[in-house]
Amino acid sequence: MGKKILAIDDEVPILEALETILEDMGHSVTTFSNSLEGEQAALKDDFDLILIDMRMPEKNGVEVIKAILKEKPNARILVITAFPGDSLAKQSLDAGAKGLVKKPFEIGKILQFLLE
Amino acid sequence: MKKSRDFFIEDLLEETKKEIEKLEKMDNILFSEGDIIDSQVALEVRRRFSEEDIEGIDFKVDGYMELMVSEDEMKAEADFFPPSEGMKPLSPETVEKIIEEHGITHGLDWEAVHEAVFKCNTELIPVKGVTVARGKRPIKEVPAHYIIEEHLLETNSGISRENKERVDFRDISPFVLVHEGDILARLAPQQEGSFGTTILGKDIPYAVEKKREIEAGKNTKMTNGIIIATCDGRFESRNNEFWINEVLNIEGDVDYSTGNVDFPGDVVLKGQIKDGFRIRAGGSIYASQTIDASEVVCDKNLIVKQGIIGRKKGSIKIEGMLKAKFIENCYIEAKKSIFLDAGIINSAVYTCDKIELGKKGVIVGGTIYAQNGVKATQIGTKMGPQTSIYCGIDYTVANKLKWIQDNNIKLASKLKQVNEELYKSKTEDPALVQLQDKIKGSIHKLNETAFGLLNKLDRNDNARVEVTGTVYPGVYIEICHISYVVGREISKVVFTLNKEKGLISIDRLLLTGTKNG
Repeated sequence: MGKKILAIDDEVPILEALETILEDMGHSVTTFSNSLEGEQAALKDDFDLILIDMRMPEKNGVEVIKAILKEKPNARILVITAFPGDSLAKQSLDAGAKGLVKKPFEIGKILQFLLE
Repeated sequence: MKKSRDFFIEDLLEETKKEIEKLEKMDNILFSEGDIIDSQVALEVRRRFSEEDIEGIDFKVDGYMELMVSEDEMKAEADFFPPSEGMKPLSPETVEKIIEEHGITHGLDWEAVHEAVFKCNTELIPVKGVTVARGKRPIKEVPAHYIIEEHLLETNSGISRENKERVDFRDISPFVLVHEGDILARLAPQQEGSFGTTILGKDIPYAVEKKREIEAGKNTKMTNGIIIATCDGRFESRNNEFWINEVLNIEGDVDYSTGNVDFPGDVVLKGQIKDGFRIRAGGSIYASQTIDASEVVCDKNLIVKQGIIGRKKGSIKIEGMLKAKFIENCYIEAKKSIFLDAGIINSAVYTCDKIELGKKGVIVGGTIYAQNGVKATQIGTKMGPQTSIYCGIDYTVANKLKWIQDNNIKLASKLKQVNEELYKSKTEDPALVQLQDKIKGSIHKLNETAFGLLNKLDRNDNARVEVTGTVYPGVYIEICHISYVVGREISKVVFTLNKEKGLISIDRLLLTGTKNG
């Protein structure tokens, strides 16, 4: 059964690829390249999985995660990062993200989280 | 060699003494143009003087033939002379008579004789040096014997030519490699001897050739007139003995003297593998020295007494296990466990089993995939490069998923371009629509494959990362797709997957149950 997915990343090609691949699998994908707009969408609507890029110009991933989980503590969030060992990655996990996904994304890991 | 003309003249001398006496007087004179000489004298003159000397002299002579038999009586050659004007042509009967007088009975080439007679008589020119008879040489007797296949005795057979001018000398190998069942030698049957015959009809006895028997040695089998290899290995021979060595011993380096090595069995390497050379073994590889920036593939184990230095271009793929002192800046895949004394520096190391490091074993920088876990003394450094440890998953499946993902990203980009073109055009271009469908179909197919691989990705949720010394901040640890980032220096800990909570647990020796350090 298709899941509702929100993807927030300032790199549009990554969003487009994610959207194409996940929609082909029957999921519904909403994308935002602006972190503030993405955060608003996450707060406004319910999603089965939220993918958030770690480093974005308007607001970084950790802050977005905190904002979302403050309102929706059960939200399932995966963080997209090129640096899985850096402090922001650590902070995002501490903030409540379920896992890290290496840039551009790890389709296997995303699918595993969707199946859980 | 006695000429037929000599016999002929002997007869003539009997009959024409006067002419001969006259002729004898002419020995020391020069002929002048227009002289007329009678037939018998002319014959003798022709015989005794060169053509240059007698040029322009009008001989009155019948056509005739001069025959020469070689000393070994294996060949007869003849010169055919035309008749002078008004004289009789050379007749076949005369020719046959001369041949008979010489006693030639075997190997006559009558066709050549008749052709020469005809040419001589019709074109009125001398026809010289015609082989009219040839003897039969004896055939020696050769006993039955084995002959080693020719290609096995050649070296540098591995040469590959990209084109006629260019040769990659790294592909030239001095080793002759064979596979089990390859034919090494074949039995040549006994060759019967036969007598020869001279053109005068004498028998020539035949010789019997002596053959040294070859000995088929280790890892060979004689069967039905052939000798085959009973294992993969290197063909080696000395004197009259040959054998198959299942181990390739390389006393020096793998370099231009050995070429790239591709051996079906085990390889024992005393020297180094020089930069840019590759070694492939169907068995295990035992290296006494450091492996340096090379391509190594082996179907069994790789045992390196020293370390492996990849210089960011070394690539090693092992079906078995790996033992070495250290790995540095290298790409390594091993299906079985990896055992290292000193550690792993800035490398990408993949194993379907575990990685165990010695008492001073550190992992600093790079990416480690170890399905069944990692045991190290130290992971990361205070200010060191990013170190990522992935456990519990099958890296071969992860690599396939990565390949699918990379291709899907490319296809998605193409699909976007096609969609934009279709959006811009007022009428739907059937070719674009077809392409759009094709790309969508490909993406879907890849997604289905990815989905099918998912349940093979997580293999061991009991995989552990044990650190007997210190693990430093910034080290990323993932067990069965659950992430953990080390936040502070911790020592003597074990990272495991807490399946119930879906997070990584850390047991610090006797302490338990901390999340995220």
